Amino acid sequence: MTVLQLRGVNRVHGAGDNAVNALVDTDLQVAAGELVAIMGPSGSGKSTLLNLAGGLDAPTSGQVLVENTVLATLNKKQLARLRRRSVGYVFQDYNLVPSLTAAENAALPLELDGLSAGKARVQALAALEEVGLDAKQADRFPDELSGGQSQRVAIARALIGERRLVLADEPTGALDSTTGEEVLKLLRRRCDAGAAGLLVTHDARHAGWADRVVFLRDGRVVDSSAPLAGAETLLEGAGS
Amino acid sequence: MGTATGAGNRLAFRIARREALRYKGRSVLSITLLGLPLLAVAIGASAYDTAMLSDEEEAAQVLGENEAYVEFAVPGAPLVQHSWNDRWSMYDMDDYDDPGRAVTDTEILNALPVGSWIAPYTPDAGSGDAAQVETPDGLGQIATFGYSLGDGLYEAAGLEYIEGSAPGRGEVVISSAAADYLELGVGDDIDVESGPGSGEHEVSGIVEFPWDINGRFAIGGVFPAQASGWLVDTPEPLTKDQATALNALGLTVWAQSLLDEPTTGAYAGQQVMADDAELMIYGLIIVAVVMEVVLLAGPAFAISARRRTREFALMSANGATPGQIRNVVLAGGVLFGILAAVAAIVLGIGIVAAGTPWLEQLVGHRSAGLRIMPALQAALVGVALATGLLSALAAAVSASRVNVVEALTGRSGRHKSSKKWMLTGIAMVAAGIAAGLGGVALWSLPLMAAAIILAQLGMVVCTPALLSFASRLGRWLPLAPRMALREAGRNRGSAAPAIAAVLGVVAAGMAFSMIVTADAVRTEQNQERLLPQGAMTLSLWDNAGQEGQVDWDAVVAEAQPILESRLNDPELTPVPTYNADDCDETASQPNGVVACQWSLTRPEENRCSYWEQDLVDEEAERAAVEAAREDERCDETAADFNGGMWDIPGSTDPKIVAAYTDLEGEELDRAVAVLEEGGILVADRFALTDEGTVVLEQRLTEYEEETGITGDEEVAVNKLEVPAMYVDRGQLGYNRVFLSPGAAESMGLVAGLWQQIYLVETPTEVDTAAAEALAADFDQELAGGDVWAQFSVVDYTDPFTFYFTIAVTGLCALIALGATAVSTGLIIAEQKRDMATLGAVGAAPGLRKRFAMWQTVVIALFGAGLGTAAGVIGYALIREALNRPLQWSYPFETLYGWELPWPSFGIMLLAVPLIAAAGALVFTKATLPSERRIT
Repeated sequence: MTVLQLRGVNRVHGAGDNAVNALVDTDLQVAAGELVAIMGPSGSGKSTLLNLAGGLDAPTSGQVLVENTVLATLNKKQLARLRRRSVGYVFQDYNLVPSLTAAENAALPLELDGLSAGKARVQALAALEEVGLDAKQADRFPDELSGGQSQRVAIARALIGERRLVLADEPTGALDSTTGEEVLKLLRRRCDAGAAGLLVTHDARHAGWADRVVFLRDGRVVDSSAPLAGAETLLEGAGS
Repeated sequence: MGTATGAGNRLAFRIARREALRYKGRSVLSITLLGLPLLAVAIGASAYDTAMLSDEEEAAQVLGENEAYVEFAVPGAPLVQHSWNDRWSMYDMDDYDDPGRAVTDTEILNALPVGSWIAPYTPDAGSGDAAQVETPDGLGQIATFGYSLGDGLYEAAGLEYIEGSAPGRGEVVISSAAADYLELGVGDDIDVESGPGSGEHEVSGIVEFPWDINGRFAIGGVFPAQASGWLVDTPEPLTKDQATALNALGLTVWAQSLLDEPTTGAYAGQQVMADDAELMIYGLIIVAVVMEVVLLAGPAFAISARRRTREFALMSANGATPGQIRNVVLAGGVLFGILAAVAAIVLGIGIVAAGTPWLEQLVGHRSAGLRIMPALQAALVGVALATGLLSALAAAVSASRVNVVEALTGRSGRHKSSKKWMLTGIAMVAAGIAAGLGGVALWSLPLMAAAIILAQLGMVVCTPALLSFASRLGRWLPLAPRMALREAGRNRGSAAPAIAAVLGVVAAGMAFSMIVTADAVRTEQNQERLLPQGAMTLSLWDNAGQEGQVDWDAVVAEAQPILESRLNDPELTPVPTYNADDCDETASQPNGVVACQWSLTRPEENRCSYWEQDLVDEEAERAAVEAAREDERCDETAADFNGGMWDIPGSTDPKIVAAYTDLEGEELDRAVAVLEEGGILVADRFALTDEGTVVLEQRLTEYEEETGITGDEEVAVNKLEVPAMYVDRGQLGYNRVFLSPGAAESMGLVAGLWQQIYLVETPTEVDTAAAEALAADFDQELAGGDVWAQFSVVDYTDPFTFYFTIAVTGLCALIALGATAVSTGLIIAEQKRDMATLGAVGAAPGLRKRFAMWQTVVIALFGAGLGTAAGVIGYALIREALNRPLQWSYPFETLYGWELPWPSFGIMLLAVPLIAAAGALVFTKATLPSERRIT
């Protein structure tokens, strides 16, 4: 079952002489249980693609569908509900709310969706346990957690509930290699359990965890392949 | 959905609470800004409720265990009493016949139940017979009462012995305030110099009446047993019938058992009926204050919200709706509002509780205990909530519109110059002005309040666009001001709320200063200036009624040494004054006396148009007044003689003429020439004929001395045309004319017999202390008690208003400075990264100081400038409300004008930016962030 579809998506930033084509005629499908890695040099449109997929940004033309719903047909409230219930984000630099504990951060989408704090906490603790954080760490505030722990919390938040689409933007960028590998294992495991995943990364080793790698250059999909060893060679000549 | 909302709100409050704890400094600042006005109201409400006494409490305080206080209107003349709830009863006594004798105590007792007792009593300590007593500094006055304190009614009424005991023969008790004033204690002697009970008397006790703790008085048998009425003690509470019987004797009754007498209701209701203009003024002031608090507290929320942009973007990415993000910020407003209200109420009540003794001294009576006006305090919580919510509203809306992608990637898009906002702001200001005009025309508080809100919000909305526009001017400036201006333009999301805060404070300060200044000018315009500033006079009054018998030269000889004791070579110039003599026609008016008034007439063509109108209804009256305001002939204040010509100065002596007219040079010569021709000087220029003369007319009016009824008919009996010259009313004062002896003689006026005025000249510089000392020296009787003398130095200055305005402006300036400093500090903190970049490229450490200074100047100047404009608009509306009850009366009331408080303008527009700049220069660290990293 296709969870995410991009059909002929274009995204132009600015206008006139200042117009920048961030994405050009992009088509992409991500099925349930599939982890797709997006690679490309800086400015190639990776983050733009992710933002469009999550409904944080809107395409200039083309369609973005999540679970067969065209995002352009949704209003702000409906988009917010989609993000609460269907889409999970993981960012490079953790992005935890500083005034909420780890458990509360993980439970944030549920609480925003109207679940009581108590019930949301039960699910959050389970999600945190799944990413390797115990109850003691669950009650710590972000500034009391290490980078790896913070990113685990962010992943737990992205995975909590019935979300079917996980969008990860350089989730290991601020982590050491060991912790980074653990985070990717978590993502892989979640996709194996049925979620669709989209992973933006610069690192070919990390792309190795994906089922498929999509290469972007100047906003265009230049290739798509299985994550074979030496995949980074495809980027040669693309600039960095 | 309801569950989602509830859970969302709980989350919002949890985040708000934790944010408040994370940033304690900012939280305290917000709570303080929101709470300060509430604290003032909480203190005011508690103090008012504590200080005020209900009818029952006041009766209990003044009467104590006694039943009533009775007082004569006219002894023996029956009256119908309408109000029974306080000492100042309302009553009618039409068509009474003077019984020709006083009512005796026995008659009063006969009207009371058997077993009643009465004792003389004056429930106003200042109303006793005044006696001159020796004080540590010379002489002073206290009130005296001849009560026999052996009578238990006084202690039952609440008289308390602080020290000592009741006076024996030849002894007195004094109030604690008198004891402090005279520095006397029990066993000391009080020296009564003159007045009733003269001589030395031993003080047997220090006493206090709870209803007048500041009164300076003495009680004892040595003083005359006079009082304004009687305390009444009855075995049973007084009935209405018994009270009515006392009314029949001419006594008003204030009885504890009759306070709820129903007839009081209608009269009390009339007294408390609030004037709608007053309501309008208070309404506008409340709206303005809430508005200023919102503007003042808003920046803390706005800047906090800007710092949390990433957090909100993250919430949005996780599915928070704009409404949920808005609620997170609004929850902060609610939280701070509640905390501010609770803190203000608790602190306010605590301050009043601690300050009750001082409060009692201030109001002059004991309180009935701490009271807090709970309804108002509860309303304060509501106001605090509303203020907190409104303060956070702009920040909340801004947060809910966060651009998630930009916020999460740390990029900030290039914002277009806000033409749309500029136009919106201008439209709001225009709408505000229109609402103001509409509100004035329709006399609508909501419209006028909307005018204040729209105008100020319009300016706030314009601010970012103004900053953007101003930032373009930076190209011609040196680096630091150029950066400051451009940063303010670039970060207008932070700078605009800071400017709004300063705008709010300055607007409030300016509006208030303008009201006070206009009020002072209005008072000054109403003030009648008889003599120039600094002129010294010695006034002597015939105290013994020996018309024409006083040897004034002998009195002057007696006064001369007193003057010489403090002044070098004092020279006294007598000022002749004239009065209308009795009318010859008195004999022909057997039922009353006849008042004969001389007044100035105007030529027909100079009469005000108002008098020609047919004033058939209110509309016609208003139209006539409106037309009169456009007609310069209708300013008739200079023609108003306040009841006639009494004690009018008249002379041809240039020195006296100059003193009373402020004329000099050729004008003085011309005035003296007119006076020497037998003419007069007049303040009403429309009284002058084309020939340079005025026509004086004497009219007879029948006046019933006892009823005060003035006859309808006025009869002109004499006319006199004399040469005249116009002199500004401001110089001639309330007399309106200055006579020549010749004119006075032609008018049949007689020289003043009861009063003599002397101009005093001396080479000595007379300062305030010397003037007060001389006034104290002369506040006494001369010529063996037959003449009362008074020395005064003319002083029209009103230092209170000036210092009060300066103090209020200073306070606002201080808050504006604080707001500027805090706002600038927050903005500078936001620009830490830019500072680090500057440091990295080799900027000198001092650049940060200069940058902070210029940033402060930009914020202070914008805030003060816009705030002054907003203050002027606010004043314009409040001025309309103030003028409304005044503008439809004729003769005209002086309206509140457009006097500008220049010192306040100076403080706000110059001193605040300069001091703020200096403060920023001194207090900003000279280290750039990059340097700190290196070291």
